[in-house]
Amino acid sequence: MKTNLIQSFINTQNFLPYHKKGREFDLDHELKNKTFMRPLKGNGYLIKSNIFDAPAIMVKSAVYDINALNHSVKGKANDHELGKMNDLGMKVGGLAIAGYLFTRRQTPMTKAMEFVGLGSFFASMALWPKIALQIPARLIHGFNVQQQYVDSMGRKKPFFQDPQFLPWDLYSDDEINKIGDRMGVPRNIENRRDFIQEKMKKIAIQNNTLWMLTAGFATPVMSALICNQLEKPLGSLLSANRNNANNHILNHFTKSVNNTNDIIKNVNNLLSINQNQPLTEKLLKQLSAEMTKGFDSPYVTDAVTQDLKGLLDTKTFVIDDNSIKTIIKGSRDALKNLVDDPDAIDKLVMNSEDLTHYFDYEKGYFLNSQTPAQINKIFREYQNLMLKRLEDYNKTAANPLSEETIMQIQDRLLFAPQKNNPIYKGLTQETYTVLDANNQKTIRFIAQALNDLRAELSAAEKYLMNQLGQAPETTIADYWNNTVKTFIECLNLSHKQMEAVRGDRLAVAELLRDSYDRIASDKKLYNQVVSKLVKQISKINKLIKQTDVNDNILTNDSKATKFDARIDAIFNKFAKTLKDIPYFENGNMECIIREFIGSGNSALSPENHNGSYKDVYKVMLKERLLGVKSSFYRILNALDLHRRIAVGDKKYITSLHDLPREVKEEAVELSKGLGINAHTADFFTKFFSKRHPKPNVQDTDEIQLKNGKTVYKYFNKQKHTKRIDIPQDASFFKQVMSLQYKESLLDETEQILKPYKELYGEFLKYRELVFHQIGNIHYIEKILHKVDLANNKDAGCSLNSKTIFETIGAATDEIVHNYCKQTYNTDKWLKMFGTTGAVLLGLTVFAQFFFGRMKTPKPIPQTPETNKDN
Amino acid sequence: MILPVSSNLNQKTDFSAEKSDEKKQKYNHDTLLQNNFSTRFRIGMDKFTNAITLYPAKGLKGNRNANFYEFLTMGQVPYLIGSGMLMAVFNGARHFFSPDAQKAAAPLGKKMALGVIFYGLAKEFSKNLVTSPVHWITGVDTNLPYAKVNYELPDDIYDTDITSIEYHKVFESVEFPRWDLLYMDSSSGKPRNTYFDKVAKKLGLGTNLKDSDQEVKPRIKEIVVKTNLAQNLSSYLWAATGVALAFQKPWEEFFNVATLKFWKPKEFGKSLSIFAKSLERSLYNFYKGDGSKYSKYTGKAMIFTSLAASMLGVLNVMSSSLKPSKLDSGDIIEKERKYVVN
Repeated sequence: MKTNLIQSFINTQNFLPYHKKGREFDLDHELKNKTFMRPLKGNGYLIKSNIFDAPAIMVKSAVYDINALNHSVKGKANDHELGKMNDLGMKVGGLAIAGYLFTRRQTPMTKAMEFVGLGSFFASMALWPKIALQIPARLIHGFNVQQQYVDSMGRKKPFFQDPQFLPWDLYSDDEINKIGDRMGVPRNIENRRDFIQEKMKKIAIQNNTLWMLTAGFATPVMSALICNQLEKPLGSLLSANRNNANNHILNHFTKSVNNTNDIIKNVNNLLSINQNQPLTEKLLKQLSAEMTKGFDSPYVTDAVTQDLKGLLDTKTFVIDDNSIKTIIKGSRDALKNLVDDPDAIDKLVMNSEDLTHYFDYEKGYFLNSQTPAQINKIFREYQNLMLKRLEDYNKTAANPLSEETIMQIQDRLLFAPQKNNPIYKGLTQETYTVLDANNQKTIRFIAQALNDLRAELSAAEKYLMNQLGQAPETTIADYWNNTVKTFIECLNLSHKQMEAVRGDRLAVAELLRDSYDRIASDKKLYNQVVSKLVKQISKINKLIKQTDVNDNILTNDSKATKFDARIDAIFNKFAKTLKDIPYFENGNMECIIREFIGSGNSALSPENHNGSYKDVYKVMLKERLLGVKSSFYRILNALDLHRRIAVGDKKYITSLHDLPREVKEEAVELSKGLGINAHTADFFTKFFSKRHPKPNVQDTDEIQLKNGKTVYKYFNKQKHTKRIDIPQDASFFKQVMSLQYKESLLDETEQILKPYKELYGEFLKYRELVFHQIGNIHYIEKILHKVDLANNKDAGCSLNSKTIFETIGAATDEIVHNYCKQTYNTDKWLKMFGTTGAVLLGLTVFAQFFFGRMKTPKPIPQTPETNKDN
Repeated sequence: MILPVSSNLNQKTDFSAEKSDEKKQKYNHDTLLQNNFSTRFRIGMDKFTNAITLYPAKGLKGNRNANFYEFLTMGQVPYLIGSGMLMAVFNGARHFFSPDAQKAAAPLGKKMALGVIFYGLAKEFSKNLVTSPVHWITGVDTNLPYAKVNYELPDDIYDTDITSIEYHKVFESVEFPRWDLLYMDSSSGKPRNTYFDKVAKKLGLGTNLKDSDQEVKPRIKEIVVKTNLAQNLSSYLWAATGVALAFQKPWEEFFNVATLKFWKPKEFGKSLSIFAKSLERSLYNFYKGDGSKYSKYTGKAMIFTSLAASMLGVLNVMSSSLKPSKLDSGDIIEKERKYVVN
């Protein structure tokens, strides 16, 4: 037991024991000494709030903070109020960080996550002590270690903040005794309240220390975990919002157009600066650039420049500073190779000041309109001037120019043909069309048309990007992610399997092969998997309605979609405006119309204007849609193929009839492999596969099946079987592709697909398309394979890299490989920091069982009286 | 029987139970310290070592002498661990990723880590942008430290170490500043109010004031409050600016060669030189923007907002609603009487 030094000191004094007298109250004495004057009773109280009080507390705190800020600015704040300013600063700083990073992020989700991150960090700071310390301590020890109180001045403070100053009087005896009972403190000890208070204080000190030691570990981890968990619901919310916004754009297009006047404003600025100035090439380019700002195409800008040139060309010229610069530069360049002495060049070629003086003050040509005839006259005058300067130079120079040099100078500079003559070039460089009121009107009219077009296209682009853009957060990206996730769920891959294959695409292909075979060998499982997959894949037609947007290839509907019709309407309106242009005298708007809509007189007609600006809008989304659909239809087709082979019914594998068993096995293997790992590039190069150059043609048996899985007799059994190509065997590839895409679908597959009419129709068309385009002899540039070209009715069908890319889609093993990598990374992170968080929480809670250990004082000996009382 | 008092006095009872030769604390009474680098460093190290060793040990045992100062000092522990943890959260798992994923995740993770470092540095050093001008202009050093001698209860009979030194600031509390430490001791040979005279002069309240302390105390309180507000708000804005700076692309060049292996001078030197280049380019990028929609405004906005916060803070400190008393101190102070401070 610890010795109380003060007590031991008193004991050493040998004082006589002090006998406490009975209390005698003497009113006169009390009044005389004013001992009745005691401090006023405090107004402080313990805060006993629950979650429902949170809003009121938040409002109260906010009001307090505002007052504190006000007092601090005036320099009148107290310590408590100043302390609040630190919290305020932290929040302001946090908001500044989130705000800055918000502007750096590209997508709504990543932008929103910046603020979620900030919120979760502050939430973690507040939640960790509650979850890991306050609640466990309450359950273990029976009181709130994070108790707060309001002092007499109305300031909210943590009760156990300063262990040397604890306002115990705020706890009633009943409350303290109740806590003591919960702690198991015996009732019959001396100074029970003091003992309980000491115990509470000890526990609070220990808890506060533990808080300081654990918060640093816990807050970032907890914050990151909260963010991780919030991503999914936030994604769903943003996705729903985006879909609604997209529908609104398409169905209420006019309302969705944000009528900005950026182009008009900028063009007007430029016009006002250059009013009645010569319309030079440079100015024309500036105007075109401003008029086409946002179209993001140099071709469009060039087209506008071309049309404006035609519109404004009046075939008169002006000599200005630029002309003088060109004349001087051209002259000096011409003389450089002929005259060695730089001083001679300086003397022969006038500087810009002198030349300006010559054209302006001496001749009066500067900045005035000159016809071509006048320019010729000026050119001749200048030639004479130069000849005179040459003559004068030779008279005075120490080293005069030779006759030959003078002749060369005359040839190359003065009398050179007009198109190569630097002087003539300079004189005719700047056309003299001024930006008069009429020209300004025309330019403003075209600018207005382009401005309106830009505004409408911006709305269309927003729709296009949100639906099918190549970005992380679009309708199609969400659909892709969800479908891949469903597919992986169907494959039932474990975390361990994903970890094993994440670094090796070939291993993924093998894993997929096994999974497909496993699924195909079990009818029930096959039906479950395909049903689930079909249900998910079919969602594309709900998310992106075929009437709104379609690929026009797999979809049977030939009617223009809403989006296409809208794009046509936008561009037609623009073309019509330009056709009806007033003040239109010189040239026409052919270049602009051709660039935007297409060539020819039928520019107003929406059909067949490949390569125009308009087509980019239409084609882009069709290609995106087709590529995504092909990727998932390929999975369905591969599963159907595996199941058809597993069933073993001849009617589903007619392509293999009459083939030797060995070739059948090779064809089945290649077909299964192509369904999983065939890449677009494969169709450009080769199809090396494991084949026997001289198969056993005598054996024409069917492939043996065991429990729905193929049992090969030949494939991979021969030592010399390698991945090879047999050029003369042109039919093998066709048989392989027929087996995959031309055979009838399995009844089971059809039954699952039929309820999804749109999907079913598209899927059949997809199979037809793939076989037609790349399952035929045209797939590959190998002359020997084109043996039956003469008999092929589809000869001449075009096949290009884009078509192959869109019909093949993404290789399934690549999709799964990417998913495995990403999932592994996320899981690894979660495992690492989730475990850290869990262990930390466990240790923090566990440690609290050992807190507050104190030696309990001995109970007061029980006398017969007390026994009787009890 | 009444025992002679002297016999008790001869025992020289000492409540500290400390034998005079057992321990010598550096200070035996509250002592004003000079605010220079050496003192700040010493105090910082003292607080840091205590925060990670002594105070947690005392706290976890529930020591009855644990106090608010120790709790506050331990506040730097979550800051430091939290910074490390934040870096780990963004970088820890990366090493298990595939090489391409590692490559993709590395720049962001490293920028986050650099952001954590810049946050701390910018927050700490930016405070000087407020406190230093205030000190120069007003003569009030709001960070003036003092050593406080704290008497504790002995843990047991053998506990002879019952004093501890705490490092506080004179103006830590605006309600209860340690004015007593600012008065000159008679042994110093300087006038008692030297400190207050100096502040009064700087504040333009005049010289040779008879009661300069009474005149400037309210003004000093106001300065302390306003300075604390300004340094709090501006330091977090500077910290945010530091994070934003760390997120600039040019840092990626530094990340490729960054090394802390100072024992390899060539590599370390290269790393430092690239750091300087990357810092310069990042500052330029941050200020000018990287071509994206808002970046040409955001960098400038952050820098100028932080700068404005510091400057406005100082300007606010300079302005005061408190006017010097019109009364002549001679009218209210009895010159012959001895006054006790506080």
